[in-house]
Amino acid sequence: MKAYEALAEAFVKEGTSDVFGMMGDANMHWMNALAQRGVRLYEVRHEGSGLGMADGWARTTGQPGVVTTTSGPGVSQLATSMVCASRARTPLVAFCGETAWGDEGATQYLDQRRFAAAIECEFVHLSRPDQAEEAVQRAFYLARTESRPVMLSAPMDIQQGTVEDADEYVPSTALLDRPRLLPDPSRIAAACDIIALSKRVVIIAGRGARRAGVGEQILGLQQRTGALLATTLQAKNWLCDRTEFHVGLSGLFGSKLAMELLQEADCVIGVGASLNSYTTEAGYLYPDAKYIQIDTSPHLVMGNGSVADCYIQADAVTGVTELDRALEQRAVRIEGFHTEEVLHRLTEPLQAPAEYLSELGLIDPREAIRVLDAELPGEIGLVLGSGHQVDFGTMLFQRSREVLSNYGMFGAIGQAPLLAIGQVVANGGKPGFVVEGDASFLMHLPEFETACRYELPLLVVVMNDEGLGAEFHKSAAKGLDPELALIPTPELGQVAVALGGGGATVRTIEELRAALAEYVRAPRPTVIDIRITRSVLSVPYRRLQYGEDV
Amino acid sequence: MISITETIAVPSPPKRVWEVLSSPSDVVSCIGGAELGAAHDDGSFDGTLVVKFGALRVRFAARVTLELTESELEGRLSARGRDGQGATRFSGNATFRVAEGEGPSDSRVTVDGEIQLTGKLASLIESGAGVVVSRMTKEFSAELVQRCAEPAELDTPPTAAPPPTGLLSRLRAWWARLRNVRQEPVGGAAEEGGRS
Repeated sequence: MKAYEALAEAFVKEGTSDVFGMMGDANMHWMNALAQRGVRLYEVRHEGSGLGMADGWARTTGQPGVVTTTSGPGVSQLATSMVCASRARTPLVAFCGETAWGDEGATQYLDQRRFAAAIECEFVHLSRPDQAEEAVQRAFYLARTESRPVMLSAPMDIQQGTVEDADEYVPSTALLDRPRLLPDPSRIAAACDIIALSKRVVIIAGRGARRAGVGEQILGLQQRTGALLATTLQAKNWLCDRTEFHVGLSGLFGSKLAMELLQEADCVIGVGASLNSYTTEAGYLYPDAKYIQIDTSPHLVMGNGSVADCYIQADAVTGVTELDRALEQRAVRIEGFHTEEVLHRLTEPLQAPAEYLSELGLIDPREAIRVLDAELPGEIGLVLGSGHQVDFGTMLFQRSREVLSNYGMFGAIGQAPLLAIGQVVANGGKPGFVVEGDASFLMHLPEFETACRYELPLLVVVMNDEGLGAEFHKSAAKGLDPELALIPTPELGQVAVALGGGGATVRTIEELRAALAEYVRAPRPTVIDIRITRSVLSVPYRRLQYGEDV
Repeated sequence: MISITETIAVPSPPKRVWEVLSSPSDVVSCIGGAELGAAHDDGSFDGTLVVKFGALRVRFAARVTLELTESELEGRLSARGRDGQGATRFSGNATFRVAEGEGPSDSRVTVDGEIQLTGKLASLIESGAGVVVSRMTKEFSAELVQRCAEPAELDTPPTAAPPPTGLLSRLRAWWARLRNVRQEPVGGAAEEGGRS
């Protein structure tokens, strides 16, 4: 057996079913071997885009995503997406070819070990053919245990070496023996002490809580403690249809009411949430609160630079269950935020603004979001990018649905449509939609053709203000020339059709509704280019740039 | 760094404006969310200020120094401190001058200063910090105009009144003593002490 075959076999046994990437001299044999073993290959238009898709695939499945590149220039294309995946703590393996071992004069030579270090990923090198299986096992083990990307770099000549038939491959999952993390009883007691003395409890549920499926337990704890339930951005809208006392996002993207109520908290219980600076506004959102944090990490420093007043290392389900049980034993029951007055106030943000801005041929972005939320069924998952125009969706989508946000993951524009393609693949071709700005979408426009080629029913909603929206508004705030941030765009609906998908450029709400109805009726790769006004500034920008209390 | 450059037209005579601006308690009363704290032997005093950055309320504590040159109707206020989280430090200073205004009963107050914020808050508020400071400056201007229009000494205790007991009263008394030591009084000592 050739080493590339042993490598491919090992990838399959690690559970690899979908690989994103671009073929070249240094990975073509391996890709052929994968195809022969039934792995689905997604040929993309740029290696970095492929990594973005693998990132989205991994964030959806929780399993390591796989991307592949050839040597040198194929690897260097990975940079931005790799850093993004690293910041998102995505388990991922990048199988990268390499020029012949030791041939530093080769045209495509790159010191890939140093490059990997610079773009924040782990590095595993295949130095001998007989280490092929060991290298794959190590790469996946690192990806799974450290929850980060790993570059497996394999020189093309080593890949062609012969491997003696080995014993049965032992996948990295066989090396994982994770015990249940039971909470320390003394920490549970300490947490009860804090809660018993509290009057205004807030529970913040994060991505870890959602993944652990601890919703019922959180709702029980919320009921007992009279808590407001807030989420991090990564768990946006989770459980919002299960409790009336859901305040939405904790952080900059939270509503004005959320900001006001959360600042009253005297106790914060974080579940599967790192309570980072985004969630807590570096601690300023909870000036008088004591923190209880339930997480599996051995150590966590919160966004205010401190450790929690009571840190409980435990899996989310056990931790919350034990805490609730201990509170019940002490007969703790708090009215807290669960009052008629708070309930009345919480229903207000759901009301639409009194009126939207009317501008000829342009749509108010807030109204666009409201229509999208209403017209797209909750089963259709959402991916959110970053940038000014996406702020509207990040704040205003209300419906309970799966949401993946790329905000705060290195701040690179252009990644969200890639993540969304990976997500649709991971979901077995289930429809999904992504909301992005025009500059972001155009950055990796060719990948819409990839979505069309593989008939992925992805809806790309482009909030098109024909410019770099963030820079346009920041320029205005800083006294610079906003016009310099404007970049006209072609009719992206027509572009989408030319690339093989469906598409529409919409300038009225009626046109938007019609385009959405067409997608919902028969989901297929589609771009809806929504022409929005630049006259509406997002709430986060009004806060950040103008200090407005909104 | 946030710069403050403001000219405030006050429809009160310079003497009255100076009375207000040279009194820490009066100045503090013109700043929403500000409170005076303890006075220190070196002439400085503690102060707290709650500032709203967007929807966030942030409480700052500072050591404040006020140097007055009464003959020039000029003062220099400097403050250094941090927020309640200990995550952000700030330092600031401002020089203010009181001059005659357009009419005989008008004044013109010029304020030049700068504020430096370092720490976690700085990245949270971006350009908004300058806007907030500008807004506070305008609010201060409006309050100053109103304060100066009020008759002085309405709450002044008679000369033979018992020693002050409240924090504010004690501070006023302390400040009066300090000013009498430092400067040539414009009016008589009794009048000055009563006013401050």
